[in-house]
Amino acid sequence: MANPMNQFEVKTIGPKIEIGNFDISFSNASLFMVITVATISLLFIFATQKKSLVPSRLQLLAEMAYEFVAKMISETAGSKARPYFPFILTLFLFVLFCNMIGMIPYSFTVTSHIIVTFALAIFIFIGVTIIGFVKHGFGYLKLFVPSGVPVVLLPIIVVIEVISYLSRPVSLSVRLFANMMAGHTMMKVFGGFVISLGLVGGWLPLGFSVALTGLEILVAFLQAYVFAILTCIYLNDALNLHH
Amino acid sequence: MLRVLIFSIFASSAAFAAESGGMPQLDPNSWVPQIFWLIITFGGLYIVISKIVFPRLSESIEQRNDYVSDLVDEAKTLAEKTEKLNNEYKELISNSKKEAQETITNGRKKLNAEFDKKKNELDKNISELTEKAEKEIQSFKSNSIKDVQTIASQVSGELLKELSLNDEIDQNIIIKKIEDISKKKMGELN
Repeated sequence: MANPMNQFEVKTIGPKIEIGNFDISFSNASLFMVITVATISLLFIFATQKKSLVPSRLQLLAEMAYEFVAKMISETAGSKARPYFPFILTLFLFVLFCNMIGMIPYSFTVTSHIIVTFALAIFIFIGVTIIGFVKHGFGYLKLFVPSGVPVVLLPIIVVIEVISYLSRPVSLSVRLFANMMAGHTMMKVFGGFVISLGLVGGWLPLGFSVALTGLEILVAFLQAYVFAILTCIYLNDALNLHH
Repeated sequence: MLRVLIFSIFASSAAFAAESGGMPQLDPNSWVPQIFWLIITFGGLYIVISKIVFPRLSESIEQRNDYVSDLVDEAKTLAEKTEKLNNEYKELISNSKKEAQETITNGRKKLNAEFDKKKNELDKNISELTEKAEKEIQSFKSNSIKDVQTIASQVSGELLKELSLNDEIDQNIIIKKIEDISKKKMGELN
């Protein structure tokens, strides 16, 4: 049976490129990032070209994505988060399309790499922290002091709050990465079973594979949604500071 | 439940991977190029979305919302107008009903008056006619009595002559007799 982890291997395409000491070679991971971005860009630019009053199907799709994200932001972070709308939309679409394109057989799932999700999460974490301190100054530290807590418990609570705040990028990135990797590994394992059991016993894992494909498409959407909505919630903490 | 399943499989697959060379995700050599390309692609996508897609989408959605709210406003004003017109119409109807009622009562009064007048006239005519007729009848009655008297007297004269009473009897005596008799008879009749 083929190693189910092989699908996650990053293979350099073309020559090795280096800037200074940094290796920035183009790989299959980079290729799929480019494909994802190109797909989203072309789809949305084409869909929004006409701006017709009665939208075409494609335009409707783009507007649905827009309104989905708009609703998500207004429900979690309120109107103050309006300037960050394009970023949240970009984030949601990027993660969603990376997950979905990863569902195509023989493709590469960009979000199944912890470094990618962690880079996104740490960027969000740092960004949100900066926004919080810019908006509230040192008052942002009140985030770690929940109101209505007995003074005796305060030191413990503050420590817990700080730890939970600092672990946000880790939980955010590991959630997405682990879901993606686990799902794809599972599908690969069941696919391998289909081959090894052959015509006699291969039908059962084949059925599982089919069911898993459906499940994974759901997870692909759900994780993109969770990633975006958690970003909105963190943004809400930074903007509105009611804890 | 789902997460437990996924994580258990994740753990088992990680163990499986560890046996045969480990997870490719944990190879630090692949990190820097991935971060670099992530920044390039994600940044590019952010520029495309914030500069092209987002303004277009918000414009078209806003445009549609404006259009819809315009239509809603128009519908509201039209509804108000309809309400106003409806009220006017109702007023008109009630006014004309009142007017019609008035006309009917006036007409009825007028007709009644005219009817009474005509009736009185007719009554008068009728009574006049009746009077006249009565008079005629009366005169006819008396005339006829006179005629009858004359005829009777002549007939009786003739009769007496024929009955060989040679002496001519004075006509006047006969008339007088007849008158007496007829008066007596009339008195009996009356």
